[in-house]
Amino acid sequence: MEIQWHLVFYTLLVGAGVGVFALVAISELMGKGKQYHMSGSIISLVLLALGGFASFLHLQHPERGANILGNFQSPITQEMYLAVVTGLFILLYIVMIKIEASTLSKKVMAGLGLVFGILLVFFSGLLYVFPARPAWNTLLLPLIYFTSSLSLGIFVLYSWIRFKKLEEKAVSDFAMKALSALLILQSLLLVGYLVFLSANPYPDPTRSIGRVMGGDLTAFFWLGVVLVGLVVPLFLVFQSIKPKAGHSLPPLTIGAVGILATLVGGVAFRTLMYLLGTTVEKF
Amino acid sequence: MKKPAILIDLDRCVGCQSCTVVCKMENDVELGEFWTKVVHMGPYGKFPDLQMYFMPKLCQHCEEPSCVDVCPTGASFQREDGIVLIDHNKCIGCQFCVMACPYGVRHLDKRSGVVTKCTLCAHRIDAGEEPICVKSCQQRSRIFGDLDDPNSEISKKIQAAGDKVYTLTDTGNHPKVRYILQKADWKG
Repeated sequence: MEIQWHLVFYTLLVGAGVGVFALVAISELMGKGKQYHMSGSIISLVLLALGGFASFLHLQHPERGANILGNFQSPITQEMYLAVVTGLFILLYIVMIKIEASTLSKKVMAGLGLVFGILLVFFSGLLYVFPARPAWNTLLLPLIYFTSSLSLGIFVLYSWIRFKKLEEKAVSDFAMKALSALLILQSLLLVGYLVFLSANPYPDPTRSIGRVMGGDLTAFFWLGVVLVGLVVPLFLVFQSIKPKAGHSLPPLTIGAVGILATLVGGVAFRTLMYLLGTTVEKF
Repeated sequence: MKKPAILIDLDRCVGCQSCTVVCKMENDVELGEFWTKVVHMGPYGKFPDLQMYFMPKLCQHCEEPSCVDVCPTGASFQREDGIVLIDHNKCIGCQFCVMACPYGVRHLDKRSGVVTKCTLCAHRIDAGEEPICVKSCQQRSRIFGDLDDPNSEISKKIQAAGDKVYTLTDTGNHPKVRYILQKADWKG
């Protein structure tokens, strides 16, 4: 099917929003990073809203959107409610900061937003796991959605912290360690996805490993998904964790290039998914 | 309860595409899109032992339709007799049903912004007639009837064909269209 660009950006923006909030929530739970809890949460909400807007643009008849509300058995309806609940917890967390609520209540709200956000990101990828499309029928797909979009979100907040000079070394270090873990996990997941493609129970040239490893999608995969989406961010992260004397990159450069690279990589993987996403039977 | 379905005898189909054409005319299918079409299978094998056949494809009106399960508005639904339809007044054009269909038989109608597909000519069935593709099949390759009635023509044909009755790949949705192929090897 055609690439659904609005959904590509929906999943990426929502995941990035949750990635931003994840770092805020974890630093809240760690009792650190007070200076950017409010601004980080607002950035997170803005990203979630932008994602929601992209999803809205995807609909051909948004004026009939109310029909979604009562249809709880549909995974799309469930996802919508999950997004609303996540947004609500983040909003409540912002309110709690504003009214200077107790530390415990802020921690509880941050924790709830984090848990529902993580569920939302995973679920937004899980929606595409259809037996109908053999190249999508794997849990590796939502996991790669998860790692790619959360990485983007963490780079966004890292850049914001550095831009506003709100630096708390412990949090920056934690962000970089989280990024390295996510990106290493993503590389393992990508290897797993290639293995999955090669062992698919419904083989077809349109979704074969051959398209990715020597066919028309080879350059796209290696340049977009691997080089830009994985190698560049990993290089930036390791530059930040262990800078070489005289060759260290400025933190803002690391943040900005990291945002761009993870954004391109996230779009590239999602695009690849559509390009490989042919149905079990041709029509 | 009746279980209306289509049986296609592939040994009779000559790939004339008349079903494709009349379906488009009857249902005003968008230019460039199809609710049914005939796919060439093969030729397979090694000369001179070659095989080929024609394979009409359409919505399978599955017993467990994955398109209905994912629909967030209830626009895709299954009637009591098992026919899978789309309420175009409820469809928001999200296309998740298109993604969930293993057979690629759904598409977004760009004129109306809703998803469309074969209705098994439910409007004709409700008026006591056969689907237009069945009526117009000059080879009598397509047979319409009640799968739950052991005395219907479709049930008798299925019984007579024994293990030469096939369905498209079942990914858990249980496709209902039956295919008979005796003169060549089934390639799906």
